Amino acid sequence: MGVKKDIGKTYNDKLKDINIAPDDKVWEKIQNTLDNKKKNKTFPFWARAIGVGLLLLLIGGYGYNSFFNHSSNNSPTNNTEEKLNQEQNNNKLNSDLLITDTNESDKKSKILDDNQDPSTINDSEKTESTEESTGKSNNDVSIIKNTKDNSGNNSEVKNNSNSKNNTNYITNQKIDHRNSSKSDINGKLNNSTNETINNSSGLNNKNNTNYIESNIGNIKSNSTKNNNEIASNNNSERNTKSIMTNQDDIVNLKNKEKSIDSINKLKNIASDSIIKKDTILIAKQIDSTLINKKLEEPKSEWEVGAYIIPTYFGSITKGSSLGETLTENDKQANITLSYRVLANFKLSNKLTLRTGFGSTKLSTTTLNTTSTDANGMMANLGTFSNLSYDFIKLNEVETSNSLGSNTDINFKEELTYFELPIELVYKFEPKNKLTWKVFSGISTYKISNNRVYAESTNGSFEIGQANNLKQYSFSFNLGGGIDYKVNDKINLTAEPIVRYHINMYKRKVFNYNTINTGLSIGLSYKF
Amino acid sequence: MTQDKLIKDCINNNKKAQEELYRQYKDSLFSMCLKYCRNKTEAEDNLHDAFITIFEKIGNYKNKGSFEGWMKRITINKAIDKYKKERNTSEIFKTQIVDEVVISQDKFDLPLNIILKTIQELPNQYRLVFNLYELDNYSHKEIASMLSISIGTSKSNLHRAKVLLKTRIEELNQSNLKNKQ
Repeated sequence: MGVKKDIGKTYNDKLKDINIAPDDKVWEKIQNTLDNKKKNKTFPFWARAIGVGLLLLLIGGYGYNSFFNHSSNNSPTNNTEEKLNQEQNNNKLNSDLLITDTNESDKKSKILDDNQDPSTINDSEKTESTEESTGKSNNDVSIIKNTKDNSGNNSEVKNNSNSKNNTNYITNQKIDHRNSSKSDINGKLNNSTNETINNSSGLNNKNNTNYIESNIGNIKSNSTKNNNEIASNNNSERNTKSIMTNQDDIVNLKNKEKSIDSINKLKNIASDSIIKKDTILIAKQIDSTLINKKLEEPKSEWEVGAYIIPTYFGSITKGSSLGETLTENDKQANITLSYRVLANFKLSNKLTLRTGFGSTKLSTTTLNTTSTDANGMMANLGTFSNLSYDFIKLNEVETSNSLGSNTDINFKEELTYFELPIELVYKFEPKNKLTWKVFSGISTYKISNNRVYAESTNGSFEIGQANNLKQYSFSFNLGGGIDYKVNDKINLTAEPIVRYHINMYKRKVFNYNTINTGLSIGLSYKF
Repeated sequence: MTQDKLIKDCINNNKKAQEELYRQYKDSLFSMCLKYCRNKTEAEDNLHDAFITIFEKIGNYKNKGSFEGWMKRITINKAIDKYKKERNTSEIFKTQIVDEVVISQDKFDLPLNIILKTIQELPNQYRLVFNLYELDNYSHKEIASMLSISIGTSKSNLHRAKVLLKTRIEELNQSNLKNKQ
């Protein structure tokens, strides 16, 4: 019988110096794994996340463009036709208003007498622009003659030019209300539509008159400059474009609206005349161009914002995810600061798609998890199944009695996530400088920091980390908020947000669901 | 190549350095894996996982303590992680700790692979507790934390592991005797 010895020590003696070589295939397998990981690292998570975000924005942008183009191509025309139909039904001309508009526009308009020969147009002084125009083409002066039978009471429109002021001299229409319930136009309308009659007897070829141009010119205040350009253009399309080009400089939005009103009146005039078809066509053209122009006004489709979010993290139920023994423990949600940078892409006037990235910090404390003994050693540490200890730190805390003797201990979890949110925002009609909104979406999270602290009245000391958290998790986001327009470029935003976490834990010790709420405050900049 | 240079090159993902590091430490780490795992295949998997983590985290090594110790710790943690994933709570039970488990030294006149096999045959939690306590000098408190069990369970598991090992060694000796006869 040999010497008896503890079996553990015997094993230690026998096995402490063994050296057994693994198969060569192990190294090959390691190499393959490392190579695969390198390939995957070519596009790290953040790059892939941004890529997905951009792709979504691209798809959103494409959808937006398709939608927007469709709207701008079709809707205004349809609207115009609807308006025209309504106006034709009314069949009344508010000529007084038209005259008022004309007077307001401070144009040299002249209302001719009823008895005046409708074909007569007073010549005007030659203008430089007229001369230029005449020199270029004999078709500069075009008249659309009103041949309506019941036009015993005629209105005449005379367009003229004033060379001194380098503006169109416009003779506008006079409308006799005495004998007609209907409004007739018996004027000479200058335009460059296909259906024109060149009436050389009543016109000086050198006159460059354009009824439509003149009326539009009349409608606009401060349009002297614009009229110069109008006069020098003989093609109605080009004229219209010219009007639009100069519009930005000379009229504000209010004037534009006024313009649309006045054009509607023109349509009224046209609706009763034999040339209504042509006039409607022109009015439509101008109307749709104006509307398009209005729609084409520089819009801020992109907006980038930076936000700070005081975040309150808690659970719907009691307890803690750290261990099954803590199901009945009370919890305390802690307020932390999270950050977000978001790019907003406007899908329509009311809908915005936004995505970006952020750092979300969550913190919660489980109360009375354990207690320390007289030497400051914590009891029952082995029972917290989802907590992995950092022994070096734990030993430091316990051996130095940092937590104190015979005291209750709380466990504080601090988690930091990289966040990739994608949200759809619905904005209500702005009132004054305020715009209310609601939003909903999802966030993808990648954990970047995970720490557990033991807390007592003496302080908070790191002891390890939770081992049941998934690398990637998600949340459903819901919120509302308000934008305050600081100026055309900058908005101030406040948004209460609720994020319900899903797929956060590898192992759930019980039905434990987490939720975080926050108030997102930030500034956004429109491009 | 010095160890510092080797570590630096491994941080820079130099393949040759990684192979050299593997070559230098594979035997000792694989031997450790054999003690912590149930069989050779599991030990090879554990060694693979450990080296992957070592190469990924080698930048975190701060030159505090021995480099080999740091690698051994990673290797042990891999075995513990695997155990935690497969943990069956029915394995965890306490037994009354009785006397010290002693054995006559001449009964250990067995081939090394047989001795190793007796450890591998232990239930998972017993094997881990036995290895951590007896072969790698961890305290029961540390073991309790590492395995998320209580200190009492750790002590009890160690005792049961020793009893099982002793029984198995005695069986092997008797079997050897019969074969000789």
